[in-house]
Amino acid sequence: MGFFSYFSAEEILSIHEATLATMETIGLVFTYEPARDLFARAGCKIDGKRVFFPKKLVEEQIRKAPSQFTLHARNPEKNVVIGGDHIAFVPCYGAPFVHDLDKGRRAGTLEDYNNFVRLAHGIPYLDITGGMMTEPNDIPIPNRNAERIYSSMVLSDKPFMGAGTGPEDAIQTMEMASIVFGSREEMVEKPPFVSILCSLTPLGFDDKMCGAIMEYAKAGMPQLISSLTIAGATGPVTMEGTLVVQNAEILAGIVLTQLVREGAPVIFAGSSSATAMRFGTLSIGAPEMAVNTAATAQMGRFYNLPVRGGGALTDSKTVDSQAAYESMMSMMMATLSGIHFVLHSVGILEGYITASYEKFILDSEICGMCKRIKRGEEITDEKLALDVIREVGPGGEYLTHMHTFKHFRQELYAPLMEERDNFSNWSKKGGLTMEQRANAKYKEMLGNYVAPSMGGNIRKELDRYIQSVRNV
Amino acid sequence: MTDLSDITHALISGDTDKVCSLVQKALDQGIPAVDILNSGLIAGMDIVGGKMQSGDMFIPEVLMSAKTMNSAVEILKPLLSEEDMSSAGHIVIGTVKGDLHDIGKNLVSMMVESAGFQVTDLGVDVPPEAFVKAVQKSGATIVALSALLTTTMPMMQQTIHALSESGLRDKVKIIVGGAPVNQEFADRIGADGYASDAGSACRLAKQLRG
Repeated sequence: MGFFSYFSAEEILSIHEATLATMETIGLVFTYEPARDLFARAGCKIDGKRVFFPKKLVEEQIRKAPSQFTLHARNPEKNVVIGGDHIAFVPCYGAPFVHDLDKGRRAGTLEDYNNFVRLAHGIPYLDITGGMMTEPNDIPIPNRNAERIYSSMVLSDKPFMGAGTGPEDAIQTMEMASIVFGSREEMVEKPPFVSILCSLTPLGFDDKMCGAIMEYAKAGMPQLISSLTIAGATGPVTMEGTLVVQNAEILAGIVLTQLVREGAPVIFAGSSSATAMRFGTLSIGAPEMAVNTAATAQMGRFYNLPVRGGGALTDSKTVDSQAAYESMMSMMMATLSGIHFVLHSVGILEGYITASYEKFILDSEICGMCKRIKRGEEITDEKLALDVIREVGPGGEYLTHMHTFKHFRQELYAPLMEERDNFSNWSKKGGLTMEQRANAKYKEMLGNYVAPSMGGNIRKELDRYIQSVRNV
Repeated sequence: MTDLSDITHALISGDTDKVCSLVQKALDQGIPAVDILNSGLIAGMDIVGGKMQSGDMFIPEVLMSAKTMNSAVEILKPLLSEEDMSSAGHIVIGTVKGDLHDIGKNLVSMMVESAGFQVTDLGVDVPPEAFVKAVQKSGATIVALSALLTTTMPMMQQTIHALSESGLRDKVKIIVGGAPVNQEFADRIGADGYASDAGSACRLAKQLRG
């Protein structure tokens, strides 16, 4: 499949030049002293907390990061390649609330988090189970990371996401992963998880994020260096200007990772979008989000780095038409533009505030469709089927042809949920709306869930670890 | 004679130069500063507030009017009595400790300031003691707390606790806001009010002022 390009090559170069000028002459604030020290040693000019990056240094460092890497799952069949022609779908992240048709909107709990791991485990189109599908509000804050990581490793054998909260949680994530995936050296060879660390836009990084970025880089663990610039609020109102701010933040973060450890795997991650100007808040269902997704994919390709963008993103408060069309817009753009890692692929409502059970299922259908599109076609004699067309001829039919029988399962996407039956049959089955069917589907999936087995000793040691956290 | 409604209209358009020159002209013509403030400027911001609520004005336009308002008030300040200035009340505002997000807080800060409140904006990552000190120093009657992270929401409760410990709880109304915050949480931590956006925070502050 080819890539959709939003900007021309010259335009991309102009954005790159403006980014380097921003980094060199305007600089970024790093409040974290160890980061500033490292930048100073690499030749950056420092003024107070502001760091100015020489162009040469930036270009030199970002070339050191790999263009592709693999996340190694507990079950090797579920390994995920990040980069190249692959697209990885990952569930919602960071939602404080959850929503379903039965109980409405409420604070997320650890049980909700666990349910989302179980669903992500079972949905074939989700490559990674995620890391903070909802905030486990019923757990004391200091214990939340350990509980999340424990659940992610026990309830699924897919790759997962590590702490994106701060250096202590990053270290704890690596400690816990090491129980299951072996020594730190083994994990460098076969990283089992990826984490997301974010800039403090515009043009800064705070202590916690910087501390975690450096811990992960030191350990050679992959991470997304992510910027969410809000056009018109934390960045210029133009998509072009917002891209420059986003780009400067991501590149500065990536330079930091490479200075800590050359070749540390990173994902170039942009999720900038527009301000909802009636309210002064972030809008993620905006068409500008799709523009940024396409542009981010192009910038990542320009730097030869794996790239994150898009998602099933909506500002809608409930699973409705707005949620559906906004979500498909950004998912489609991510797929067509060559994004490799799609965080928030399923579940998000309300501009990242709420994770919906029903939307988790509905968006999975979008993921399946996008994976089908992404797979691409190949021009071969068998696929062009000239012989078959000749044989059937004008006015014939293909339903009974061997060519159809042989290929249809691979060629045509089989919907997880989509309603394609006729009216009379649909009525007989209760005339359910898609939302109602998604509600039934998630319950069915949770009912049929079977936990993947985990070696007895590993499980025992992991249980001991989580008990020690709970007992404090 | 300068018609104060001209000031009102120019304020709604966010035309700072025009408003400032009209305010100066009105003063030169002997119109009392307090009348210019109340009948020209605050009247204009009331209309802006209404237009914002109905969706006829967008945030950048509202903020331009608010900035214009603040420039005009600077001209009037030396001529206004302590009583004129403080009648609207004093608000101490900040993003609670551990949280560095300030867009929402800044919006509220600008909105209440343009509604005539005196504002002490403590910025981000503000520890409970700093709120206590600011209230003691300013005699503020409203404290506005902001948080964007679920992990910093408990700090709102701790801040309220610190105000109680210092014997200030009965002297101030506490309002809270931020994306993960809701009315139920506000009630649970013993806040006096919750607002879901800058416009309603401003209306809430006016309402609590009585």
